[in-house]
Amino acid sequence: MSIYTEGLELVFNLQSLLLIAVGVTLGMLFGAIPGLTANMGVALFVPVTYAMSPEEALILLIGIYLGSLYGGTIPAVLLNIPGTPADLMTGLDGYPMTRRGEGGRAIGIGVCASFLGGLGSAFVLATVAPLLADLAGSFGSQEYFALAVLGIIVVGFVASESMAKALASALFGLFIATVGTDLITGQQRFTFGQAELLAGIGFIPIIIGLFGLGEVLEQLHRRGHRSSNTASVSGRVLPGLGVLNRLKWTIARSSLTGVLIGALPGAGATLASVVAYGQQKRLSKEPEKMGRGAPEGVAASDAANNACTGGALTTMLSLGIPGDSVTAILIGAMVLHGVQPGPQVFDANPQLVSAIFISLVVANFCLLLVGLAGAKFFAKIVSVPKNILLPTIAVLCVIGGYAIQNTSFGIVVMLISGIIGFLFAKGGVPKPPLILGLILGPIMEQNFRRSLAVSDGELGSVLQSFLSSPIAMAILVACVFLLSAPIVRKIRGRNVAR
Amino acid sequence: MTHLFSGLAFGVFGLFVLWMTLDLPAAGSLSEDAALFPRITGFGLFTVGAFLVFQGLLRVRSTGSMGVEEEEATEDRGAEQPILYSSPEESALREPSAGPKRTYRYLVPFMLLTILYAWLSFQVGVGYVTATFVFLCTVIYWLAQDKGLRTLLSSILLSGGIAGGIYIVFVLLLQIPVPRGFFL
Repeated sequence: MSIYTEGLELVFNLQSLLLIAVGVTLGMLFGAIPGLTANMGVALFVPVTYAMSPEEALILLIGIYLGSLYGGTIPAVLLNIPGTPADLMTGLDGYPMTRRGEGGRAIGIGVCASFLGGLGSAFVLATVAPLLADLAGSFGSQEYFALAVLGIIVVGFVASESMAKALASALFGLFIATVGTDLITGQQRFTFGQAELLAGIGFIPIIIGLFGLGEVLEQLHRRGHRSSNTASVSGRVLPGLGVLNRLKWTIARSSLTGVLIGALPGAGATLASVVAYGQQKRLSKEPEKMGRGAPEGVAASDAANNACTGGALTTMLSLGIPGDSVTAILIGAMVLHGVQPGPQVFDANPQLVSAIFISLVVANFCLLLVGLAGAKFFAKIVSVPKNILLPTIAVLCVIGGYAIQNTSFGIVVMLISGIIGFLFAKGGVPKPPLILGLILGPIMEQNFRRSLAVSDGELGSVLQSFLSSPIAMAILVACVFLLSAPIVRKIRGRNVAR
Repeated sequence: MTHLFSGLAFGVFGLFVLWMTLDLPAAGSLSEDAALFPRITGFGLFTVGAFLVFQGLLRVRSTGSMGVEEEEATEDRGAEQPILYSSPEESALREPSAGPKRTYRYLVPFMLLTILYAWLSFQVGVGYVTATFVFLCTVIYWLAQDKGLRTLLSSILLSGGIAGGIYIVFVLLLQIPVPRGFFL
């Protein structure tokens, strides 16, 4: 049995196939309704997986992840309102197509590009992840520390409006991760005598609060519940083979971009689709048509954002470091089920790894079928009234906060996180870096202190140990480059202005 | 203003973290120092906070006496630009029909109702299902644009369906022991 076949039995049974179908459909619903994101969908359903096996839990959550990335295409194309931030670029060409009466065609191209991008990325995941895990097996604490730092910096770099705010958010997450019992010394930190805090602040109530309740509050603040959308799909959804043949290189190129960006710790589907779209515009023979209803634009954006899944899962599985904020939540879900992602998971739990590979492939086929057959239904979902949706999400957040430990403390954490999430949104502080900080915090701290222990606690020796590791050095140099890039850009801008 | 306020908040919180680490006992070596990493994060928060305050002051200086409202309007215009990782992430999801005007009119009562609902569900003994039904009924009707008997009846029916569905999934299928109340 190889790592590619061990999970066959786990995936190809009625229950698992049903979970994939349910996951993809739920994900599409979350993606299709403007205001609900992939983060929220996956976060809200983590508590639902509590009674499941780790394999079933991940199969469902990956289905939601994949489905929601595509689902956002529907309102982006039909209403020019991206269902998720990752579909921002899809609307640029998808909406003009709808106005020309080609909404169905745009959605069909989006589904097919998402399917091909996702499928390609599943193969990359299956081939690259084991190799990367082998390489990561030789990683020491210096390399892991450097990778975790890279994750934090990349998130800051990607948050283009304010790198400082993104870094502050990540640092806040790093601090929350230190609450509880110190794993090295057994010392209690910031527990204020509360027994519930000894094991640290629960990760799941935090993400449910930040992405669930926080988003509900933000929508109420901007009176989102007063908005009403009506959308319908016009024309044929299934694209012809000729169209797909014309788009094959666009899809292939964008998929590769998506996988690479997805694999970068901290980067995500939004960046992937923006880069792929820009790349397509540069390489297009008719760049003037981009943004005016070019099918290439829809294909590039959708292929890239779904291809991100395989890349992000590669980093998550082989290194234990999240590729984006959704995989950070998936790591939380894995830990909840007693599985620690990282190179060791390939030896300790090969069936789970295999099940993830196979379920990602199956989920992509499911996405194609549900996406093409259900396009008209999902268009109707876009118009679900928010006065029903928002309180329902709040109810799910409360039970989700409670479900993990069956204590009211989880609800309190969820409510506080919801308020923090709202304040972050109000202050323009991005939330994903906080989640990354929360996940990467223990990795950073333990590896940094391990490096110190090996070097007898001398900072000079620690520095030397980092210098002696080419991989850690290369990663840290990349971090310095990313940190200094905005400053260099600003100085250059000033010089040009002069 | 968001730079200034968020910078102040993060900076003060960073100082608070640094102050709290003083309570942690001293260690023999750096690797055994449980306060080391929290101190680094506290110092980082303070530094980034100070930087944001500095940026905020520069912005205020360069734009004169820019009021909060003016800046919020600027932010709304900025939201129309493609922002990669959301600042906030959801800026990409802003709905044109919602308009730039923001209000606490719904937000504060909603948050208070949610806290009350959680308290009634899990602390007081009203019971999870009953509290969920009442909460949903109230909020769905309150947030509805058209208020009338028809909306009230549909709110009651919908709330019953949603509360029942959540009870079936979480309590019966997932066996989460929620507090029992008047009905279930």
